[in-house]
Amino acid sequence: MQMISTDASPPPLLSFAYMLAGVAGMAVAAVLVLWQPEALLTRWHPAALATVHVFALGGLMPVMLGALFQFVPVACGLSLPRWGWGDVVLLLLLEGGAASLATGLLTAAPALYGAAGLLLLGSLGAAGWRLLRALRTQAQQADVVVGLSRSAVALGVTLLLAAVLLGILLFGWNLPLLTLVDWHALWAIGGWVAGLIAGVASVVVPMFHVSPAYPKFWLRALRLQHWLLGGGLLAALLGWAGVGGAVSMLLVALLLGFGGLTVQRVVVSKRGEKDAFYWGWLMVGVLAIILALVAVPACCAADPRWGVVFGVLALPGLGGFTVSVMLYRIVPFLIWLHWQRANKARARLPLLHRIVPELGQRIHLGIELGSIVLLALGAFMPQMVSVAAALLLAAKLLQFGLLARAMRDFRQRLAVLRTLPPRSRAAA
Amino acid sequence: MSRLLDVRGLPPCEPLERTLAALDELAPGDELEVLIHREPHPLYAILAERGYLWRAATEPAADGSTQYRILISLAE
Repeated sequence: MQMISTDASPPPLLSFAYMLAGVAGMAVAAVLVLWQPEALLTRWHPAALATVHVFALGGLMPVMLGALFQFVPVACGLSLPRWGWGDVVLLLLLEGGAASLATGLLTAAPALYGAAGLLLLGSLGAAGWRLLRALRTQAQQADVVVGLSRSAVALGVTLLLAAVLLGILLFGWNLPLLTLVDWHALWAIGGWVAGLIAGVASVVVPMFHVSPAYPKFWLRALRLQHWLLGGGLLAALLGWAGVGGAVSMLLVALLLGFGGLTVQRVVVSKRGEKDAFYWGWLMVGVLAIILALVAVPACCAADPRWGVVFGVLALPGLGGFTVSVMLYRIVPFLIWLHWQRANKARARLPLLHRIVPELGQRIHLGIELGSIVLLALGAFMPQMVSVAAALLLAAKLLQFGLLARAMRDFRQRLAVLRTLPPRSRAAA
Repeated sequence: MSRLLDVRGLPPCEPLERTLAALDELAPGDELEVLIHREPHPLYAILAERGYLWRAATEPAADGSTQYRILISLAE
């Protein structure tokens, strides 16, 4: 009998601190685009590169790590060892690294690249190692554990490629910069982010929507992800354009499969409630399908603006929006669970769906989705970009407020529950 | 006395809520048998904290998936 308590993992308040820091990081990325709307003219613009890294490393990454602190014990029955103050330092190193890298990219300062490299490779390497080590302790690995392990390995390859890119920029290594940038981004988005989303979705979607599990053939197909990304990287380095193109199309097929299966699962949900969680996950599936379709011109068309559209739909789109939707289920669930554990008096607790107000969730997700659509259109209509960035900023500030209020309520009610005498069994 | 609680197919957090409510009614010597469609890791932690004993076993469900049967009693 395996009995793992969330007590053995970093505490919920630390998870929440990571999540809030991440939402704030995504808001900063929106401010960067507001400040330099020309960032969306080309993916090579310094402001574009800075924004991408602030969003991914200072935004998505802390949210994902914070969620994993509690998701791994709850969903997998495994614990990530507590590092005490080390976890706070890790968050500071991560945010400091993201800020250094963005400043370095904006000012073309090699010293900042070096500092960012040390901070990010150190903090993310440690975080990925801890995750992988915890996941490998399970003898018979469940599908979700296999999925999370796969995304942790992808994070490792992404970091390795980032280290090589730093070597090119700082020490002039004679390696193909553009090819390595492309595959660094593909391992980050297609390996780490998409792998994590697919792994978490395989638990969260059937569980919370009360719908059929993702089919076994799909979970087996996902095992191809690393082979495809690895094969594609090798083919690109060897100059085999045909192989690289074929590999890219297979990755697109995986994305299409995820989108289609997710939409199908949400549509047949037995929950019967068409709430923010329902519409949010439906949009996640639709975004995955649209991203797969846009991948074709982004990969093959001569117009570089399709690459910008793909980047927008991948990062703030599929990555950011999925994280937003998940936060509105993960945060209330963790709050409710930790209240319940402290509730030895068996006092009445708020219902799960009331912990973050439904109307607030709907307004936030609607604004965020609108901003993603406008940002994508902004690649072809630059006048849209500022409005889109302002909407994204508004969405992230609203989300920060909703989550911070729920977390404040969590602390206050938890303190009260701990003072109540336990309910005696004789009185039951 | 043994009581069966079937919480298969219920969305979170209903299985946990119903199990805890049923445990409130559990008398010494009684057993609660919970049938659930996924492994309830958080429940195990709560049972341990509140002094219950439990045994869990897996079995195939009608649709081919795995379901869990958890037998819970009060510690002596």
